Amino acid sequence: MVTVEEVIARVFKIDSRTLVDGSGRDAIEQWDSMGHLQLITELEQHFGVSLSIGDAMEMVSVGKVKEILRRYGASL
Amino acid sequence: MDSLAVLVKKLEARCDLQRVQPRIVQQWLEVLIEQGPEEAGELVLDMRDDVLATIPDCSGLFSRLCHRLLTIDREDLVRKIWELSRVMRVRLDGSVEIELAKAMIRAGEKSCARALLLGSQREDALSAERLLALYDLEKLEGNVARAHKILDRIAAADPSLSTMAHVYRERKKLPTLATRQIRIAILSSYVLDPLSHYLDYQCQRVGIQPEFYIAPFNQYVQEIIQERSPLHEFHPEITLLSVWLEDVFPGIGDVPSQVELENAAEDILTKLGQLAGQFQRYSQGLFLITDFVLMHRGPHGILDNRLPHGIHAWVDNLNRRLAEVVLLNERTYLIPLHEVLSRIGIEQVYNPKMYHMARMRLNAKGLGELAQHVVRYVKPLKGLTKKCVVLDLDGTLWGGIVGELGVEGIHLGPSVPGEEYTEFQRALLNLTRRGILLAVCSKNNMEDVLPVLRSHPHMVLKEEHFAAMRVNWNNKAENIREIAEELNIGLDSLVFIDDNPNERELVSQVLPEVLTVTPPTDPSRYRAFLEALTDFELLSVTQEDTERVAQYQAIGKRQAIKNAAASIEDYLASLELHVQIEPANTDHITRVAQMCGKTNQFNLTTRRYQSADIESFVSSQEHVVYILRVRDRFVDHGVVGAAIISKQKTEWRIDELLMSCRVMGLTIEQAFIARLIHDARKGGAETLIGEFIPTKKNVPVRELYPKLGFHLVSDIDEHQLWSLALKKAGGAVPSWITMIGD
Repeated sequence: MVTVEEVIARVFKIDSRTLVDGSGRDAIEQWDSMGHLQLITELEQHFGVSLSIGDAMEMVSVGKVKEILRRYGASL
Repeated sequence: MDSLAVLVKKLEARCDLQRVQPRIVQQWLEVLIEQGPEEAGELVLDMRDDVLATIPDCSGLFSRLCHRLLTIDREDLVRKIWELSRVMRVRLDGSVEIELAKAMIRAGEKSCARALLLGSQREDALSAERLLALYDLEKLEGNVARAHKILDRIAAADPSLSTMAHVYRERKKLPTLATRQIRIAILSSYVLDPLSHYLDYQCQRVGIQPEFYIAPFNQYVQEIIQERSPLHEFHPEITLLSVWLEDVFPGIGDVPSQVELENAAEDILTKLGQLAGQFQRYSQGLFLITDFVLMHRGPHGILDNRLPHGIHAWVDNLNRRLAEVVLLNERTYLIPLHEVLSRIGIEQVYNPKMYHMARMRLNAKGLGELAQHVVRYVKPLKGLTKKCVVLDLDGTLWGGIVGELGVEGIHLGPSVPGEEYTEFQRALLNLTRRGILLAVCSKNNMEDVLPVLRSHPHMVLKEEHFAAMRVNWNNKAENIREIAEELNIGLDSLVFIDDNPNERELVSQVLPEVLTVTPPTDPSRYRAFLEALTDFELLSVTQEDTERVAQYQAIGKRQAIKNAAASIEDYLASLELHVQIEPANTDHITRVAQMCGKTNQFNLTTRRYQSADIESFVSSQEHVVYILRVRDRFVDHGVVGAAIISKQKTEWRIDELLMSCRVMGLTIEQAFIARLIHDARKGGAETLIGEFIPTKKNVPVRELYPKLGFHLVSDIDEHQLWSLALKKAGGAVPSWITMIGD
């Protein structure tokens, strides 16, 4: 079972242990608009969901990602 | 906490454990891992192996335990459990090994980390995650070459947007080992920035370091039409322009009428035609324009191709007309993006969400395909086009072993199996039509092989299609080295195809310069595999290319005479060499630029001039460009040499002098220099200066100027100037060469 933190860490090539729910786009250098696209693609793949654009745009931190994925019924 | 402690106590009573059901032991341990991973870890290490071995899912349990321990930074325990797992032959989750390796790297235990990451797997089978950790290790140890290689492998294993961006960033931190540079500009009507990451990978893996200019979003018109725009100031060698249909014709998304379609086509073609023309005015580089791709299905359903305003026919026609516009412009090429993307499928390369969120038209797959196509232009521009394919026979050109099955028994021709090999041979034959040579390197007896090459009814490739043959039981690396010598081409101009992995391994180790490719295990995929290689591209086909195969056969005949001739002079005389040297005109620009691009051995300064440069030399009063034609008794070689002279009052300087390796060793250079001496004198010059810049490849001409009586006058930073006083020097044409047109 892959965790949200692990997916995010893999996309941005950072250490998953540094991530907390509050970690967001401001704190992670690689989380730019291209990085965001990749993150959305990977999240959809790993958790088997198809995110709406509105929701995808709202995923600006680890906590937000988790919250929205839960709304889609993903088991985290 | 009480129950936990009780649990631990119970478990610690080992003799009891043997009597507990293994399933129950596992359940206890799982609970303990959740509540107190450290205690669980110590307990597991303390337990008897035979008890642990009975646990149903030992590998899962160990992996979960290690993950928990890693989150609380107890790498020491993880390591002990990993060692235990090795003793017990229990496989741990791959990510545990990677995390543990990272911890080892942090602790400075590099060789342990490397062993752990490599495991028992071959390096090319490693996952991107393992490779990423391995890369950190190589970077840390300063193994630059290995670090570059691993970045290549990471990009191949996981070509996602984020990994490619990471590879690109990391590459910038490493010292470069590239031997060539290229400047590439990207212009587009949509967001295409990440293409540079994919292009960087495609270039770096073949030793080219690209530098990019990416024009601001949708500003391609301003960039092209302004003489001093950042684009033109960048002096790109390749400029890619990709305009999306919807961006120049939003109406395509509705139901456009025939008139609207016609007007739009006219508009688009005029605009792109003007841009191509303007581009030429301000830039000397190649200009690549992508054709149009229809991403949606169009509004007319199944009636689309019955209507005068059908969308698909209109796009096809637009692309055809765009090709004509492109053809009108020098150095301009149409990238068949539609075809390139269709190869893997429109739906595979487009993600509407990415467009709406970031104005990106192509996803990672689409970018990868486009980059791989663009590199087909980069390679010939940088002189990296391969010149010869060296082929194995059994299992490669036909199925089965001819030494065992005989001519009749091999699989080849309209049978199953058999047809797939014929297909492959046809694709190889097609390569010869653009001047790529074929050679055989096979472990066989010649008497078994020759009947197949001469008389097998279904051999597409016959004896005469092979410029060189090594059929023997010698080491293939040695044979390939000989083939390169015989054909007078560099090892780095060869591609080696063999179905036997051991032979490939040997050749790639002994001769790393040779491109040893790994063909698919299924021969029915050989043809597609060959055609997907990007190493055989030419930017233009000249007559010399299409005739080259016949010319190399003539070299074989020359070799035969050489063996028979008593002295070298007799040999040269028997060749009946005819040489013609004349100033180049505009018809020769393409050929001269092509030779500048790919001649490596007989090349005095290796200045990779391009068409635009040659054009300016030809039209300049201060320069003369000479071309050299050679004919012998077997074949007309055509234009096989060139010289670029820069004229000053009392001095003529040979800026560049080059000759195809096909006519090397025939003393033709003496005739060439004699002509230059003659013309320089006539032009009133007192000295002739020869420039020489040594490279790894041009060793054969290192002694050229001194042998012809020139004296070294300066040698600064590997740039030598050799001088010849024209007053006394002779400059005779060898007696065995007949000069035409003098």
